[in-house]
Amino acid sequence: MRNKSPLTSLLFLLPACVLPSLSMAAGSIDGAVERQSVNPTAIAMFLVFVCVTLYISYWASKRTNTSAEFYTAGGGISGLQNGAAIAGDFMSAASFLGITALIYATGIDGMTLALAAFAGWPMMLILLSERVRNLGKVTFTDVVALRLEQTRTRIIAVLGSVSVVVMYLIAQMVGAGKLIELLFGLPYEVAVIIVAALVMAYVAFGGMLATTWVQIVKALLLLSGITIIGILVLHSVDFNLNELLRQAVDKHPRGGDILTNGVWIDDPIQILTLLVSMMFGTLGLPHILMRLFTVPNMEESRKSAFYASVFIGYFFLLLIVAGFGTIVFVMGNPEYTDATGKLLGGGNMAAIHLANAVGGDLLMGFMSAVAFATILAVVAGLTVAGSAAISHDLYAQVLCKGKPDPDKEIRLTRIVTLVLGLLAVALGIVFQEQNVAVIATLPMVVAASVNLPILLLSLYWSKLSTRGAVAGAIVGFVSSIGLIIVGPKVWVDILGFETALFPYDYPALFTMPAAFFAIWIVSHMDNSERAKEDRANFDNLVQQSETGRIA
Amino acid sequence: MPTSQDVQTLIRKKNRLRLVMAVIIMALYFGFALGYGPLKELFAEKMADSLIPFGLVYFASLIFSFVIIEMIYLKAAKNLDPKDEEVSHYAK
Repeated sequence: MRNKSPLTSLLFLLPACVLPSLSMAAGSIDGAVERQSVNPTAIAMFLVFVCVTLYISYWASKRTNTSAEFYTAGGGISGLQNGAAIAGDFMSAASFLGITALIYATGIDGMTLALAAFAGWPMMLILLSERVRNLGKVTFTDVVALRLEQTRTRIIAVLGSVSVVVMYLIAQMVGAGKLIELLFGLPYEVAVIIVAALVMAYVAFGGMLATTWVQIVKALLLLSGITIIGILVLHSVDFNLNELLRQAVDKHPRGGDILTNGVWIDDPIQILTLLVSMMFGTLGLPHILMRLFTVPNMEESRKSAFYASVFIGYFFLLLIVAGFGTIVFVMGNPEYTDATGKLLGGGNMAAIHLANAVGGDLLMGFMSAVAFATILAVVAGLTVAGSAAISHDLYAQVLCKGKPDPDKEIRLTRIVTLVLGLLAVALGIVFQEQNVAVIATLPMVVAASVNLPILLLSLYWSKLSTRGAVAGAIVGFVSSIGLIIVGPKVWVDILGFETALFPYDYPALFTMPAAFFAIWIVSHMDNSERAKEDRANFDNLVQQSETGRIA
Repeated sequence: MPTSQDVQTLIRKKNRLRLVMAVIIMALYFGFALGYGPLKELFAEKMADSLIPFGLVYFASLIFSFVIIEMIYLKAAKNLDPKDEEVSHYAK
């Protein structure tokens, strides 16, 4: 390995950081990691974050008595605060580390992933923010079930929500274990247990209010960190972007190719599948949609989506600068790479090494602590969404027919939170050695193919019937899972076949239209009494969704 | 209190606004995939004497233009909001 040319070295590097990067879009850190020595600065900063967030949870616990307060923080969060919290919920450690790693390996292709992760936000504002806010109370399932038959609709929507939450959770927990092992030098199992214990403390005591503030603090830390890195990188080239690109081209073994599309994936359909999955997947994420209910009215809900997109857009713009910074400062630097040119600690370390290169141990410790905080904030959001799906949608609305005993409901909510925390630890440990890339691909595709079609059509299509929604959800779910199994990630990488039966990693380009089509055709054929009622509900519902008044 | 006629007009206007904006956003966004196909050369084209490729400029302009589209929507939607909107649900 020692005598290989830089290009050959890069080829060794690519599988480690390029292939997992597709999955990073959906929130996974994977690939080989090497445990680093204990990093005292990072641990000290992280402990400060833990103390602050635990205090927030204590403060929030005194304001969280009813299940409504538990799930929606009492509905008193402002649009700006909620926008920051949404950004904190959505910007994962995987996007921070994964997109910089992708730019480090392939150059400008990293921006495609950044764009895909951003573009759901304007659509969220325009299509969903108002109507969803005005119709739902706790989960997006409320919105769908308002018009359609309660039991069947809630069961399929809960299937969609819980599977997205669990898959996202697995990817986050495995990523968390590996990342913390990498950055803090802690054993994997200890890292997974710490994450779950902290999240249980935030959520079980402080509910959505604590989760919101943990996410806001995390968003501010992550945005500050990326701003400092971006400014330091740009300062090194006198704020001349052209000079940054020139130095990157000089350093990178691929030279000028890093400024051309197609080094990472050279197939427009593969890119299209990614763009579709990410944009529409974002619109169907239960933990993100749930945040729209924490604001008092639809105007604040619009502002939430707007501010979220401003924060997220800013983050991704600076991430591109940081990505090229990794090439200039880290590539070929013997402090951060071994003799073969591989990054010390694995492909995900590019951004952390960059922090060290431009800001020394202090900035590196800060960014490591921020990466840890990021995981906590995302896992907390997922846990609230998971517990809402089970105790609000299933228990309170289906089993108790919408009239639960309030004390029992809040107790159940807290128990479900603890169970989810334990489940997260178990899943993290069970899937430790698995290829989490596949698990990370799934939630975006399932969200786009199951949750979004039923939500969008319940808001915008008068002919939708319960039977149509159930059929569409089943088609979306089965086709997503099926095509992922026969796709490259499972069929080739896990099952060991030579070529995949279905060539694309993200099948939502096909499965989402399939779900829409199934809903359309089954709803059209449905002449049941219930279908008539579903359609008759539409006009009142639209009025309520646009005015905030119960029609 | 607005009449149901007013509300219907409001809903129609808002849906038209949504449709137009969603189509613009999707066209700009999915147009990006062309940079990996028929427009690959254009995306690699360098901007005036620099190394900055068109693809990067397109990316950055998309982020800015989406935010501007959102600002326009915020303003338009606020104008369409019924004036007596109630604060609903748990906020009370």
